[in-house]
Amino acid sequence: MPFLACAAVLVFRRKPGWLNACTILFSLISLLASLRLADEVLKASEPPSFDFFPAVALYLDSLSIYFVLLVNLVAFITSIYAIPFLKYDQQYNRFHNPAYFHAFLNLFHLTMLLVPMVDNLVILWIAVELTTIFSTLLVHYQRSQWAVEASWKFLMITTTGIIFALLGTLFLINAIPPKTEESIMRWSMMLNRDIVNNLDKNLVMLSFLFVLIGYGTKAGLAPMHTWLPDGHGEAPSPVSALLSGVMLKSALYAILRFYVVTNLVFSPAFTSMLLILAGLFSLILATPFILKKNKFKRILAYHSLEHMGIITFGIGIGTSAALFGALLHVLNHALTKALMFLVYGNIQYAHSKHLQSSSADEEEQISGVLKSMPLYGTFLGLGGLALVGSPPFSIFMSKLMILWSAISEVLHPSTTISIPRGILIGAVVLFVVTVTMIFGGLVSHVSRVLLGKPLIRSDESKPSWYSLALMTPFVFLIFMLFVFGVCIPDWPIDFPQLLNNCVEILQQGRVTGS
Amino acid sequence: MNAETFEIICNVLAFFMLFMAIMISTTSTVNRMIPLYQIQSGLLALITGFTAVQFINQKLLYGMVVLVFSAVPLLLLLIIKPLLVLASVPEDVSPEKRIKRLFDKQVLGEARQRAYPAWLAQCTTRPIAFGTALLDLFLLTLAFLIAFSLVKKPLTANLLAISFSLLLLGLSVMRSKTDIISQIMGLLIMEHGMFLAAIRLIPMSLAIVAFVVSLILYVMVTLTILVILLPDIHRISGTIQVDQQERLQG
Repeated sequence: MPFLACAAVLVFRRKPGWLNACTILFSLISLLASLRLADEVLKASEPPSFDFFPAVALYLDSLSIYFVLLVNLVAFITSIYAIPFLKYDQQYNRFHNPAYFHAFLNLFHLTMLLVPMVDNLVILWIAVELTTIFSTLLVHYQRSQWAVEASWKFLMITTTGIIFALLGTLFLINAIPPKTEESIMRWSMMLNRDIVNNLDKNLVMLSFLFVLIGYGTKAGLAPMHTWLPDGHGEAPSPVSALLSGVMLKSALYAILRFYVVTNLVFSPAFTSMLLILAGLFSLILATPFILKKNKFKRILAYHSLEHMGIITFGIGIGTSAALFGALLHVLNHALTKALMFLVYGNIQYAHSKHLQSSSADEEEQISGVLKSMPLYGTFLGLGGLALVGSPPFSIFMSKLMILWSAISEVLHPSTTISIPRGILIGAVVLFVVTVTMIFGGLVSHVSRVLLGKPLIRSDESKPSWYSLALMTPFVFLIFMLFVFGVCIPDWPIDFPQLLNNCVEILQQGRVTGS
Repeated sequence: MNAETFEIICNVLAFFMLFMAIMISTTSTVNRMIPLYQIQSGLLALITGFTAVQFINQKLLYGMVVLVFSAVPLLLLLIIKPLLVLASVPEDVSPEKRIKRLFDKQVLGEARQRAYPAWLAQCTTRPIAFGTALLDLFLLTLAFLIAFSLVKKPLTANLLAISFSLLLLGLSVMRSKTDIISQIMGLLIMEHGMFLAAIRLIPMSLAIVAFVVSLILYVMVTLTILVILLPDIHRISGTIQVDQQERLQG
């Protein structure tokens, strides 16, 4: 049980001193451990589950291990960039406190790992709520006017929203027929045929609605997304990367678990409708905000809104190919967005002297990065291209998959998912239109940052080891994006198999052996 | 007493909770809201206590656990006023000291004298509109309609309706009030609604324990806001008005 060790060290590493090294080392260990674990899960016939105590059982199927991998990967890369952030912070923040930052960064990582691993649905809610608390404290870290206001909005909106998710969970418990209470709330046992067939249909429907509102708030689906640009825009860059890259996905994971149960009770048409609507609404709402002039990090945040919309849309379509694409998109978006936030963070630090002398509002002035910092400029440009979904990067692949399966659903409607054809056609058209407009918007923003008159003089003429070392993870990320765009690798673990298993779980609740 | 009697008593108490929530929603100043909220907490503690007694008759362990948890609303009842008072008075101290100050009578006394005028100042900024009361009524009707169409047993449906409307009223409070303290009041009312639902509506099992634990966490979040976030908001903007928190838009 390597993951036990991993959880143990995650708790352990909270001691200060050698903070950077400690955080990086342990997130590397947990990444490797989860890779190993993923391998085991793929080979095992039954998903392993661990009961420490009846209420707190862990359950790991392919879907959870996929999200665990995602969290670990992004957290590892982010942990490296805590170093430049803290260096910058030391100069400009009178509340500089690295121990506090690292402690909460690690706690945040730990809670996000917990979300996909727990079996009990109430504990799942607790884990999601814990991620809210720790991430708020991280957003709040710089304690500037903006940071405080952002964290206030973030906390208020998400806690208000998420209580509806708890209500949804409560409805689901009440839907379970009496006398099977011992299995209550254990997701793995909810899938039992006897239980599923006896669930109270009205309550399950209401439960999914509330859960979608509740966790949807956390996942940043419109119209409950208003905290998202504030939180992402004002948080320290490594935290923005974590928030956008994986925290949104943890909430999505919670929705997915309920999605499976609801689909087993109803025909998938009900959930599909809701998810397609939610996804499209997010897409449409994100568009004007991306087109308008704004802080770059806020643009990236609205772009997360768009991508959450795409993922939800994909899940709503609900065919195997669409689900596959949506899950792949989760990974791609997490990696690309982390890359963008981190690169932009580093560019910001380099400009910090200039920015501090003028007022903070003029952050939008950063321009000419391609001339002043050619390497970072290239990374930002490539990342931007990947983000808007141009080939050969991976987001193109997954977007295409979703779109293609949506179109094929229009042409040859499958029998299981019966969404009215007219709605589907309209949805596809809207999808294409908004995605194209967002493409244009983001390209213009990226070029604004990259081109134009450089603000600072280049300091990359004789690069130090430190700055080169900082760039390697970016190279690695771009390489990964490229690889996933061309083919889905089966090393170090069998990704195609893992994704296929996930799709099967989403459709039937468990992997039916193959 | 048999189960039926318990159920009826709890329903009556819950109705009073609902009544308090409506009062809070239509009150305009924080210092009038606090006693109402305290009464609500007391009622919730009573309901929890009754439920615990009922459970002890059937299964000792769960009953004991629920009895311990009835301390949560009681604790809120006692602690809410000093917390809100301290949160309304801007002061630049570290978070660790903030907790200690809760139990310092002298500090509290001084803070209270400064907090009351601040709360009263809210009163004049925005009178409670007739619309709020109408909205509340509409939300109540909605909650009762949904609950009674879902659940067959009238007493259970009634409780569900009450906790549901507490949730909605909490939202309504957050919407209609303009200061941060009242927003938190809204959150706390929502939490009461959830607590009521968790205690009375879930079949007796381990799940109830998990639920109550998660609600304690929810209370913790609220306390985080009060102890860590609010003083910083004060430090920066010098006010507790929500309208002042609008630098981040679009």
